[in-house]
Amino acid sequence: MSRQSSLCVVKLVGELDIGQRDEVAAALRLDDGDGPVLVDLGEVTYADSTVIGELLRFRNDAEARGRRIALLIGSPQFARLLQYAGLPEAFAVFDNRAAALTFLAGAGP
Amino acid sequence: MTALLLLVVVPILIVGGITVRRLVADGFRAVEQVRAAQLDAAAVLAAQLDEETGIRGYAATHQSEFLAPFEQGRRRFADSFAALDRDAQAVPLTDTGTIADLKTTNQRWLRSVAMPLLTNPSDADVIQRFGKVLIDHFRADITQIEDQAEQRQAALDVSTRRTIDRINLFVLVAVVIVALAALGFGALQARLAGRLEEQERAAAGLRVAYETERRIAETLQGAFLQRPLPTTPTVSFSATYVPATEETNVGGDWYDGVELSKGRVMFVIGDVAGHGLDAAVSMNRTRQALLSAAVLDPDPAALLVRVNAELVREHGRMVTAVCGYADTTNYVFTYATAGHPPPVLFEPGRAPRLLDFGGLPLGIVEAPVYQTFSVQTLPGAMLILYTDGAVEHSRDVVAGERQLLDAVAASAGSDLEHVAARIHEQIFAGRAAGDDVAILTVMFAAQADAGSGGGAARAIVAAGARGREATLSGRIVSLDDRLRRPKLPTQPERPSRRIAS
Repeated sequence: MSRQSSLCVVKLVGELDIGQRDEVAAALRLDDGDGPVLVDLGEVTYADSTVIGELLRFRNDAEARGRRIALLIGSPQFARLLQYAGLPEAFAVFDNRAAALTFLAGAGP
Repeated sequence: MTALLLLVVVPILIVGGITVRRLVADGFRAVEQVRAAQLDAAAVLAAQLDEETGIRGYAATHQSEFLAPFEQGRRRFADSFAALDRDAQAVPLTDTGTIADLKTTNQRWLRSVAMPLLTNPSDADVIQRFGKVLIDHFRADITQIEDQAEQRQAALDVSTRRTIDRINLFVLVAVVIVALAALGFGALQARLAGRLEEQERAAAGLRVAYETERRIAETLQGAFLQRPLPTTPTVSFSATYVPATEETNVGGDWYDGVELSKGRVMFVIGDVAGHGLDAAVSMNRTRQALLSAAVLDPDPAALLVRVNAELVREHGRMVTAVCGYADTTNYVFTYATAGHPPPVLFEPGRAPRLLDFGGLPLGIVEAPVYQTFSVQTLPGAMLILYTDGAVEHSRDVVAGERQLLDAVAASAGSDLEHVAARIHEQIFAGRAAGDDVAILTVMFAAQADAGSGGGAARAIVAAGARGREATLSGRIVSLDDRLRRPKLPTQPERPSRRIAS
């Protein structure tokens, strides 16, 4: 997890399943700031339902604190998986970092 | 001077000491009574659950030795109830109506669920029809009694604390006047605190033991609930469930098929995130919630909204599901999905295709939006529902979907009862699956029955006949092959470069 000015970036990589649940839960934590949040899943190719659940809980936290949040994804297989979970209804999802940052820099959350 | 001091102080100490002792003793007696009432309530619930477990066991096995918990529960119920009644009056708990209702509910349950099953064990349907509602009602009563006890307890805690404050003040004065006396009261205080702690520990231990017992009982219920899929002249089901190869990975997949009324057959498939006992318990809860909600609400989206609210309230696990109805009068499948991969539709003479889907998983978000989809099909059409293991085995779901569609096309001609198993075989070809896989197929009979006439023309789905829909968050849409997705009200702006919208 790294921070750029007030932007909170959470980055996960690889195939994520119940075996990494604790690590994923630990990584998905908001900083104390009030800036927007980018969840960088550009290098994630698979996530099982426990990880999807963690992502949704993270989104609930961010929303409760009024923080704008975006998902960045790379693999089309992973995009389809997120679609199964209805995630595009809960998150702004992008396949392009610049577009995600533009969205996050937009009007307040 | 010393004599005078003693003459003043000693009577004060004696009178004060007696008063404090009485106050403290009263406080503890009341606290103990509340605890006793709480434990009685737990015992009453345990007795009712034992009765229920026994009946389920008997219904599932038809063997009378499985009735043992039922008999024990019946015996214990009377004693526990009498104890609860007595202790609740001693506390006193104000709302005695709820306690009386426990007995009434238990009797109703015996009359409408246990007795019919004892006389006719194959009528396991009554568990679904009345059992769940009555047991839930019973639990709600227990919760209410526990809440009352807790409130009373909180009030008593305040007064006990106030009493202890008074002792503190008294001791302080005593310390100033007579150091020895102060020491005496300090010892008394320490003893009181020790007793409080001890009681807290005992209560916590009982709570843990009771929780464990309850979880095991509910898991048992789940195992007993494997009900057969219905067969009707116009709709046939087939299903397969293949657990994960590693035993520890056995999870929360399930499916159900229920004939709700003539011409309307409900289907459900679902998957609880995670594995193990908790997942099984969560699965069973969600399953029962969906089936009992279906009796109240005909609209699949509204049903998901209802069950989601229940799961969020219980802080349950995340659950994905598809539920809906096959309407045999007009060959329409009506369904809604929650975080679940899309259903597949096979129609004679056409390539199998993925249907519309959308909506967040159940149990995570307070007020998600679900959408009811309807698809007009033809005689011989088959809906294929599956859990994620069927497409995620290679962790490439795009390839997984292709394989699934191929498997459906290759299996569509097989024996009606074995379509689901054939599809599984086609996909896995004997390879081991790392996750559970459930597949459920729902098929309209190929021959139109005499009554339905030409009703299968591409009619507009009869949304008008369901007047309530507009007021619910789900709505009926008539579908073609376009993908329509509901939008979350909490996401006011649409970004320009979204991948899926």
